[in-house]
Amino acid sequence: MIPLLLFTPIGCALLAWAFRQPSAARILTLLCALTQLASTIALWMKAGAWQWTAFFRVDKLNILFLLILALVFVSVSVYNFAFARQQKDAISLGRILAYHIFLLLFVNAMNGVLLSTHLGLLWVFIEASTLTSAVLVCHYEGKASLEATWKYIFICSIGISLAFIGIILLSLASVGINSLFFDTLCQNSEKISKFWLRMAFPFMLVGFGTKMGLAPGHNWLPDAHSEAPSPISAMLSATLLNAAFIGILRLDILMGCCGLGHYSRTLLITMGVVSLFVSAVFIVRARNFKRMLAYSSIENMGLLALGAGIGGLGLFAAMLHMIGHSLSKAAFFLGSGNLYAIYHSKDISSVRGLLRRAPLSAWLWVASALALCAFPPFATFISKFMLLSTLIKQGHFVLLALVMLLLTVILYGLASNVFRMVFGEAPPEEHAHPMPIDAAHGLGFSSTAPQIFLLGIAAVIGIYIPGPVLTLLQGAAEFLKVAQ
Amino acid sequence: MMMELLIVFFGITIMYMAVTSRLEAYIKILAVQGVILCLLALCSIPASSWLILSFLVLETLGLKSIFLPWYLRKLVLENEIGRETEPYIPNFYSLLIVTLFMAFGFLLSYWAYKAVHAERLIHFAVSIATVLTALFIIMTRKKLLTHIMGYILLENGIFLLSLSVAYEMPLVVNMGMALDVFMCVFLVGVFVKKIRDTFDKQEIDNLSDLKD
Repeated sequence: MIPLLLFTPIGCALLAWAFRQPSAARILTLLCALTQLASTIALWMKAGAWQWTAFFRVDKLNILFLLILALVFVSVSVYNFAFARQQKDAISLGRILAYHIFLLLFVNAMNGVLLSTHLGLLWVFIEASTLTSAVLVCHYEGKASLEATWKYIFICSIGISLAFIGIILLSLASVGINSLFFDTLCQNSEKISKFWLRMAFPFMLVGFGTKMGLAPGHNWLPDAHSEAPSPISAMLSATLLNAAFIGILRLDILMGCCGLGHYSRTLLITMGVVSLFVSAVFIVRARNFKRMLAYSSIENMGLLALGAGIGGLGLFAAMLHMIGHSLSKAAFFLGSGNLYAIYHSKDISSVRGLLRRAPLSAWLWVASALALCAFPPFATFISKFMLLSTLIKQGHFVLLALVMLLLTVILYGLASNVFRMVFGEAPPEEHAHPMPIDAAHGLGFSSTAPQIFLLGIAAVIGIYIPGPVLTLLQGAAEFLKVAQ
Repeated sequence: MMMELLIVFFGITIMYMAVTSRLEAYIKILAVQGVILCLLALCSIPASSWLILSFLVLETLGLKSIFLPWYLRKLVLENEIGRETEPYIPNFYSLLIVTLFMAFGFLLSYWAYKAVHAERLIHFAVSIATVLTALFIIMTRKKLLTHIMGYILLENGIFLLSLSVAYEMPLVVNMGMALDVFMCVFLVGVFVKKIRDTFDKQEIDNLSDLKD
C-alpha cells in the first residue's frame, strides 16, 4: 500500500508526460487521486502500523493526514475538468501538462512528508514540496504570479534553511545516537543533551512553521495563495499546510519524550496566538477575496498550533479542526475559482450580487464561509467549541479572552465581505443585462460537485462523528499525548 | 590552530559585509568565504572517500567561489543595477548590530560550553553570527540581488555550522551541500532568469506589487 502511495503519482506523471494530451493528463490525475483515496481507505480499515523499509510508515497520526490529503486531492482533480474550461485557450499545452505533472509530483512530495519516519527525509520532502508547488503557483506566468512565486520560494527556502540549522543542532544534541529516526531519538531520550535540544527546537519550529503559515514566516502565504490557480490554492491551503504541521507535531512528540514538553508547548501557543493576531489585523483590510481566504488559513493554522500547545482535549480538538478546516477551505478556494471565472477579478468590491448570477455557486460560497467561521452543523463548530472549553478547563482565561476577541474580529472580516459579495446589489448596468451564466463559463457539474462533496463530509462530521472517524481522531490524539 | 584562524577570518568577512556598500564587494566577500569554507572542510572532514572530498571541493570552490560570483557579477553589469546596496539603515548601525550578533554568538557558545562542555564552539559562535547577519542583510537591504547574496551568506553560515558535526553525522554535511547546490542553481540560475525575461530592467529590483 505504501509503495502504491509513493509511486502512483510518479507513474501517472510520467504517463501524462508521455501522452502529451490535456484530457489524458486530467484523467490520469483523477485516476491517481482515486488510487490515493482507495489505498488510504484500505490502510485506514486495516488499522495498525504498516511499514515499508525503515523510512516510511503509516501510524495513527499520519493516517488522518493521508485521508484528508486524499479527499482534497480527489475533489481538486474533479474540479480540474471545470478549471480547464474556465481557462479557455490562453494557456499553452506545455503549461497544462506542467500543471498536471507538477500537481502529481507535489502530491507525491506530500505523501513523502506524511509517511517519513526520518527527520532528514521529512525535511527533504518538505523542500521537494516547495519546489514542485512553486511551478504550480507560477502557472499564469504573469508579473504578479512571478512575484508571488519568488516570495514563496525565497521565504520558504529561508525557512527550510532555518529548519536545517535545527537539524544540525539536533545532531549536536544527539551525538552518541547518530541517527535522525524519530523512534530511535525517542527511545534514547536520556542520551540527548537537553541544552542543544532546547536550542534546536525553535529553529525547526520557525522553519517548518514558515511552511505551515505560522507567524512570523507567514508573508509568502497570501501572495502564493492569491496568485496560484484556485485548485492549487485549495491544495496548498488544505494539504500542504497540514503536511508541514505533521513535521512540527513529530518534533513536539520528540520534545515530550525528552521531558521538554512544556517548553515546546509554550512556544507553540505563542506562535499560534501571534498568527491569530496577524490574521485578524490583515483580514479586515483585505480587498482581494483570495487573500482574505489566505489570511483565514493563517488563522486556522494558528488555532491548530494553539490546540497542539494546550494539550489534553485540545489535541482532539486540533485534529478535528484540521479536518474541518481542510474540507471547508478547499471548498472555499474551489468556489473562488468559480467567482473568478464569472467576474474575471479577485477584487471583493467588483463581486456583487453573486446570488442572482450563479445561485448554486453563491450558496456554496456562503456554506463554505459558514463552515469556516465555525457555524453549526459543521465540524469546525465542535472543534472550536472544544478548543475554547479546554482553555476554560485549564484556567487560561486571559488567553481565552484574547483568542475569542481575535476570532470575533476575523469572523467579522470574513463574514461581512462574503455576505456583501453574495447578497450585495449588483451595479445597475448588470441589472439591465444580466449575463447568462452557464456551462460555457466552466460552471458545470465538475465546478460544484467537489464543493458539495467536501462540505457534505464536513457537515456529517459536525452532526454525528461516525465510529471509525471517531476512532481515527482519538487514535491521533492518543498518539500526540505522549508529548504531554 | 589553523582552523581557528580560518574561522576568525570568516568572522571578519561578515563584519566587512556589514560596512561596505558596494555590490561588487559583496560578491568578492562571498568568493573569499567559499575558499575559506573549502579549506575548513578539508581540515575537518575525515578523508574517507575521494568521491566525497572531490564533490566538496567542487561545491565550495567551484560553485561558491567561482560560478556564483561570476554569475552575480554578470547580473549586476548586464542589468545596469546601481552599484550601491541601498540599505534601509546607515552602515554604521549595521556594523554595530553585526558586532552585537557576533558577541551574542560567542556568549551563546560560552553558555553552551558551561552547560555541555562541547567542543568546536568557535564554529558555533561564528556560524550563529553569520546566520543572524544574513537574515539581517536580507531584511534591511532593498534589492532583490542583495537578498540572493544574503541567502548565499545564510547557506555559508549553515555550511560552517554543519562542519561542527562532520565527524559524527557526515549525512548532515552532505544534506547541507545538496541543499546548497540545488537551491543556488534553482534560485539563482532558473528563477532569476525567468524574472529577468518577464520584468523590465528597472523593475527587477522592486518586486513589491503584492501587498495589503
